[in-house]
Amino acid sequence: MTEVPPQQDPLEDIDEYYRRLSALDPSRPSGWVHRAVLDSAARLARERAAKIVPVKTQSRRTANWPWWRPAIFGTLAAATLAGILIAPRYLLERTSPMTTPLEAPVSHTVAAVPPVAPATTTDLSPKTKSADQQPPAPLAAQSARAAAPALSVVAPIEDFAEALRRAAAKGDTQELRALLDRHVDIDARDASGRTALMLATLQGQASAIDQLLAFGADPNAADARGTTSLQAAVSGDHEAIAVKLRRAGAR
Amino acid sequence: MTDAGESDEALMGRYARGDVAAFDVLYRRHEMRIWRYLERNVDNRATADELMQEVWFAVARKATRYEPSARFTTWLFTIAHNRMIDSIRTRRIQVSLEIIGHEDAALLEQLTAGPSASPLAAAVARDQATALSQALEQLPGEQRQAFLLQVEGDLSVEEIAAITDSSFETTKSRLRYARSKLRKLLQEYA
Repeated sequence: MTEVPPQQDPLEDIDEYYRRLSALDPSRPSGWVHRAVLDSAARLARERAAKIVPVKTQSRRTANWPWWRPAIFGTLAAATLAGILIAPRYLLERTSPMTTPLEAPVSHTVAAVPPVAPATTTDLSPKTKSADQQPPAPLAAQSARAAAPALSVVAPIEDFAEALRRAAAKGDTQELRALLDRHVDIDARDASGRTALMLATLQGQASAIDQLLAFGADPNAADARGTTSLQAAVSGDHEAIAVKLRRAGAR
Repeated sequence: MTDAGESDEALMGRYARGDVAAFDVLYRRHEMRIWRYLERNVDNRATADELMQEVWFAVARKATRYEPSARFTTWLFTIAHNRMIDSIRTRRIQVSLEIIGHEDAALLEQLTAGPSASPLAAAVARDQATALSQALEQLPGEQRQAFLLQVEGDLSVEEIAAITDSSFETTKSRLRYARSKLRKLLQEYA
């Protein structure tokens, strides 16, 4: 910008004058806007409440057996502590040039931890020989290597967004829920500018669409070519999905 | 059950937990500021209504993911600004006052006149509001946006710079220019 600010200017009085004139301005938004906004807010609140009913039920049940709580917290604390102790060792080992590269596919959910094949004494592949030249890795480090792909610190954020879009397209509501609970950016876009909601729409995944809308996906987001989810639903003949999108404010 | 003195962030938290009344308090609290920001930038009542609706729909949708790391007002005006810019860029919304039905036109007239104003006071108020509107219209878009974000949103220069994706110095220049021009344009009405 080449704008050069003018010299000394009495700024305060114009702000005050603006506010005074604004107070006289009777222009207001139309009444229907307030009604439409509140209706939408109430509907979203109802939908969210409906979705968390099972969680509420479980919480009440847990409250009836208070002795469970310490056990649960204890287990979680132990798991967290183990993670904190193990993860740095794994990461250090992974960055070492002499270490065998991790070949397990990167997964983004806790449930998808790849199994570790046990090393056999007859395995004389160059990889094994190379590993033999190194001091034997501690058992904990080996476990960590297997568990590491599930840790959020290892996978970059864009991978989670990609996983979210993939889950949406597949209609995998469990994985979708797990990712959404991790606050993955719900409106993150792929190279073509498509969001998870658009991909779910293109694949006709109604349950995934319900979930994404309940978590606040933008129904009016458009891809790089300007196509919105609603347009995709209409052109794909997904009438029920188009209705859902319209209800969520898609235009 | 709503508390008018409660912070915006607390109200958002309550709405995220299902309290619709908290959302209503938020809406009423910020309604006019957002409205004026939109209406004075797009200079079209119907478009401003549409945008107003979109902004608050977005707030409701994103409520569960809202984290009060920044002020609610900053977040709200960021949404409003982005929606307004999208609307201007894509020209998707091309509704004009001419296509508003008779009922809406009558409502508009009623609102513009004010509920208890005398004809003379209403005329004066209308003249001054028109003068302000015209003065704002004559500002370049970036200057108008920066000025309105500050006076309506109570946002700092840093916050405005972040929202409008500009540098601190550029934003400061725009604000000074905007005020200088407005002062000149509105001098005869002061």
